[in-house]
Amino acid sequence: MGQTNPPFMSGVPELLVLRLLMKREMYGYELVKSIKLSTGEAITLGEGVVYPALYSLEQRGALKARRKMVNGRSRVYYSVTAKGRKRLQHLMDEWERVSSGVRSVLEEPGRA
Amino acid sequence: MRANSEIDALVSALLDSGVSPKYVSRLASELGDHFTDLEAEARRFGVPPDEASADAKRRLGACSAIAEEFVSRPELRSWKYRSAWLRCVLRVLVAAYLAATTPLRAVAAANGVMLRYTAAAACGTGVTLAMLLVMTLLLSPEFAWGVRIMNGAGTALGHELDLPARRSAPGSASGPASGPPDTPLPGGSTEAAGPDAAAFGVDAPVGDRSGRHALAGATNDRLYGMAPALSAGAEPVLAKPARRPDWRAGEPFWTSRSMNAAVPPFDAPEPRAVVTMLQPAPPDTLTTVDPEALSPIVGTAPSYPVSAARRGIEGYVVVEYTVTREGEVREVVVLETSSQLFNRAALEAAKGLRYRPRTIGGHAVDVVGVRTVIRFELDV
Repeated sequence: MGQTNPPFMSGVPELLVLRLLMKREMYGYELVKSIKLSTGEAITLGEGVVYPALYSLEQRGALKARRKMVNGRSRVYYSVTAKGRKRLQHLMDEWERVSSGVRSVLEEPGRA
Repeated sequence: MRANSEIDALVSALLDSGVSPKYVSRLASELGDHFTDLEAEARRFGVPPDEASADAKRRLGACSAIAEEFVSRPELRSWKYRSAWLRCVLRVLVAAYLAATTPLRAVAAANGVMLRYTAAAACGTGVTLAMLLVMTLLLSPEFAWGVRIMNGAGTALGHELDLPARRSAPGSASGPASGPPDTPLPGGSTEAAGPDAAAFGVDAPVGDRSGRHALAGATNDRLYGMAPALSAGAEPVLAKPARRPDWRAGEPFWTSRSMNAAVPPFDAPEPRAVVTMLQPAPPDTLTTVDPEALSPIVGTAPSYPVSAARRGIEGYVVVEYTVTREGEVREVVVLETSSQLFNRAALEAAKGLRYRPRTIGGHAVDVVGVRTVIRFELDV
C-alpha cells in the first residue's frame, strides 16, 4: 500500500499556506478552499487541521491574525508578516531545488 | 449546531493536554464557523440538511487528528508545560531557600554571631544558585534570547560561538541543505492514516499509542467511545510531544502527516462513471424507433463527485431531456436518483451530449422524453 504522506511532501502545506496568504488575507475556511482550487484538488487537507498549522505559524511570527466583521460575521483573518515572507522565500527556494532534482531524474532517457 | 458537542469535547481534551487556552478558545470559535460554512456550501448544491452536516463533519476531519496535531506542536502549549525544566529549577531554588533560612531562624534565637555567619552562608548559596539559573537560561536551547545574547557576546569577543537554538534529536536531518528530513513523523508509521483516511470513511488510528500520543489517543478515544476505557488504577502515559524542528536552525519546519498531500495508494479505487443508455420510445412523438439516431455522437463522461468518491458512494441518476432538431439537448430534468450527490454531475453530462438529429419524412424533428441512466461506479 502506498504512503499517504511521503516524506518528500514535508513542508508543502506550509509553503502553500504562506504563498496563498501573500496574495491576500484569508480566514481558515477560505484558505482551505483556496488551496483546493489553486491545486486543482491535487492537494486536499483535513480541513480542521489547518488551524493548528496557522496558530503555529502565528506563534513563530510568520503570520498575524486579526478579527474582522464581514457581512455581519466575525472572522479571524490571517496575513503574512515580514518574517513569514522570508520564510516563504526560503521554502520556495528549497522546493525549486528539490523539484528540479526530481525533474532531472524523470527526464533522463531510458526505460520507463 | 450538531458539531458543538464534539468541539466541546475536543476543547476539553486539548486543555487537558496542556495546549494554551488562548489557542483552544480561538479554535472552538473558528471550527464552529468553519462547520457552518461547510454545511452552507453543501446545501447550496441541494444536499439535504442531514447529509450536509455529516459531510461537513467529515471534511473537518476527525477530532482526534486535530488534537494530535496540537499535541505534536509544543510551541502551542502553555508555558508551564513547555518549560518543565524551569519548574524543576524553581522547585530547587525554593527548597534551597527553605533549607538555608530554617536553620537561620533557629540559630538567630540562640547566638547573634552564628547568625551573621549563617546569614553570609545563606546569601552565598543564594547568589550561587541565581548565577546557575542565569547560566542555564542563557545556554538553554529552548531560551532563544539567551542563545542570541551568547552568540552576540561571542561575536563581540571575536569568537563564533554559533550556539544552536535547539539540540538535534538523534537521527534527525541536519537541515534543509541535506535534503528531505529524516525526522520521524508523529505516530511513527507512514502507514498510519490521518484525516485524509477519515474523509474516505476509513477509521483513522490516532497514532503510536505506546508512545508520545498515548494520552491524546486514550483521551480522545474514550471521549468518542472508539476504544475501551483504561483499566482501573491505570495511569495514562503522559503524552510527551514530538520535538518540532526549529526553522531558525535551518531544520525542516513541517513534518506533520496530517497536513500533507494525500498520495493515493497504488491500489486505491479509481472512480469512473459509466453511462448507460435507455431506449426512449414515447409513442406520441415517434413513428419508428431508430436506436442509432438516438445514440449520442458526442459526449463527455461526467466527473465523479468528490464528496461521493471520498465516502465510497456509488449510485445512478435517470435524466430526461429533449433532443432538438439540431441534435442538442434541452430541458434536462432528473427523474430518479440514488443520491443527490450525483445530480449535478449527471445534469452537466447530459447537457453536453450531442445527437444525430431524428428525421421523419426527411425532416429533422425534436424528440422529447429521451431518457438516460448515468451510473457512477467505483472501479475496484
